[in-house]
Amino acid sequence: MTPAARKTTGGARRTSGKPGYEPVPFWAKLPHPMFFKEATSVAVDSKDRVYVFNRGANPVIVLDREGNFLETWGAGRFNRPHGIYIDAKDDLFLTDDLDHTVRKVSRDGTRTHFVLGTSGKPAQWQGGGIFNRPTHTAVSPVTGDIFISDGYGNSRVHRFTAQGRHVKSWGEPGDLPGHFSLPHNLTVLPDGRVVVCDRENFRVQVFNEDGRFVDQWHMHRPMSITSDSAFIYVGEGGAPPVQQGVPNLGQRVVVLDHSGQEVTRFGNKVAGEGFDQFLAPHGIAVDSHGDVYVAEVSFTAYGSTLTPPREVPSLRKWRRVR
Amino acid sequence: MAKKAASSSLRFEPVPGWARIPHGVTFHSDATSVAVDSKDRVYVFNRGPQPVVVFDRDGNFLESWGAGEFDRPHGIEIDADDNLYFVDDGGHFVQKRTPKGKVVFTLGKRGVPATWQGGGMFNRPTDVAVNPKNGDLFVSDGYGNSRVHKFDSRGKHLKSWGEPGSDPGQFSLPHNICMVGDDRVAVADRENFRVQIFTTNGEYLSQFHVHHPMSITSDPGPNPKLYVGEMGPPPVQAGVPNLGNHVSIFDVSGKQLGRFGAPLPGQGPDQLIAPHGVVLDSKGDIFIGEVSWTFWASRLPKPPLGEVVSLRHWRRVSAGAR
Repeated sequence: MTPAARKTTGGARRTSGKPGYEPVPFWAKLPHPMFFKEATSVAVDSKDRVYVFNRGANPVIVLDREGNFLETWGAGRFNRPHGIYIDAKDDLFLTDDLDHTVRKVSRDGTRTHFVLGTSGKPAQWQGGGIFNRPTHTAVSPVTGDIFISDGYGNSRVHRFTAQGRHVKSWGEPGDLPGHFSLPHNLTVLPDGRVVVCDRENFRVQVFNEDGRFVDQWHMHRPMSITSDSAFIYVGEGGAPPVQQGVPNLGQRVVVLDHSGQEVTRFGNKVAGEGFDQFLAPHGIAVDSHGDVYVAEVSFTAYGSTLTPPREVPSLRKWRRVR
Repeated sequence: MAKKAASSSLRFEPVPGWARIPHGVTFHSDATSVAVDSKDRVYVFNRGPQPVVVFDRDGNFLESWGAGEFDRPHGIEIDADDNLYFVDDGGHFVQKRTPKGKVVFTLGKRGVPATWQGGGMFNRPTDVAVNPKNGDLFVSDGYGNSRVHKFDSRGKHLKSWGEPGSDPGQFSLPHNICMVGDDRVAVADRENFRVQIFTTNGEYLSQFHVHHPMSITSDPGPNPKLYVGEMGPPPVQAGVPNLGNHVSIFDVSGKQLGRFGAPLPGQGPDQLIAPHGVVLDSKGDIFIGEVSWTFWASRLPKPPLGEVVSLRHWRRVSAGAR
């Protein structure tokens, strides 16, 4: 995820009018036999290098803008990759849900600045402590503070200073404003508003940096979110089993303006492996050209259910064409 | 922080063991829906051997009938003249009967579904509402469609609206429907976690966030309140407290005015399991039909042998009491 504050470059790019996107088939080129298994999350640095946090044998894989392989690191260092975020200085925040930690590391992985949470030790289930299966991290372009959604075993957002000191936490299980049912991803807008994917409440909630509820927007099972100076990008998950196969329920990316008005959307009405389809858009990032990268937990959601199980596409690039 | 829902004049208390049922009559733990006639007799449409069971307002058994006449009971409604309307999702039909149970007309053909998600009449319809002004019928449809169908009082089809999706006017499992006054229709858009309000001509008016709404009814009067039965969360959030299994009371704008039901599901007097049908009697007391077998007992490691509570009565506590 790219911090919105940096996205003021790109003078060639129109920031008004309705944007358009087209899929880029076979974008990522991996050295044989490297694989993702599934790309859970993706982030873009200041040079438009693309970092793919994945559940294969090489948890961090770095590609250039054209999809050429640059480097990999992290083998054996993670329990279950979930979220990746890059700050304005190109440091990485890696959220490992089953390790119950968020690590801030240098972009080449050689230096760990700090670790939030205790490796392998969850806080009490739904107790609100730090952390129980955290899901994602974002940094405020206004204050530099760190915001973490938490997660599968908590119903919280935690705020830390840039140095990693805990400032405050908010949220509890429920469906009222300020409650969460699986906060799964978050982004901080240029004005400091914190936008949270309240996944199993089928909504996005908007807060100020102190956790005061500002607004909520209906979305279809929102899994992933990022933002830049122009837009908010939301990856919507598919429907529950009772609605399996029904078209037009999630499995797409919705582009909103900063007030929550939809600008456009892309993705086929039906889930699948095709170039214009999604299976489970779990992580999302935007580069300086406005191109969108989507990481999908498509093995968990789909490939693992096949006979025999197999890897299916989990990293998508959609190029901005206007 | 969440706003606490509170209204001192809208309090309810459970009345456990309200219905007294002759041995041999059983709901099979699925009292799917409930309706009340002009004499406050309570009709329970259920999945036991006697699909229609009638009680007086004190819970005394009056009569039962309907064996073999329904495939899978789902919804029931009673109009101002005490005519009965049954919605049979497994049989794909909606039926009007006299107060004595004689068939007046049948909409749809028993056992013959319309094309899946094709918008025709019907594919597993869920519920019906009657306009008190002119007897027009509104049918929510359902498990295999994403539609609302409108008929006149004699059963002539007037129009249909809706398609699969999560935008305004689209549905993901329209599961229950009620009139709001005589000029609006409210739809429990279950898998979109929202209630949508339409004019009686199907024009979209508004929506508000509700946790997994299964059932909906409104009270009479100039400023109708909506009573919504909320289903629990999906499996990924199983056991998390305060997610559904409530009846919540809203004004038409979606402001929550009250709520009851314990934070977790179960058979306790103040708990709910799957509030699948909800109705008010003339005193404002509430009856709830639950699909406790389908959504709960059948999924337990050792499903219970006997009846599980699936019919609830909550009495309104008059203002100032206690």
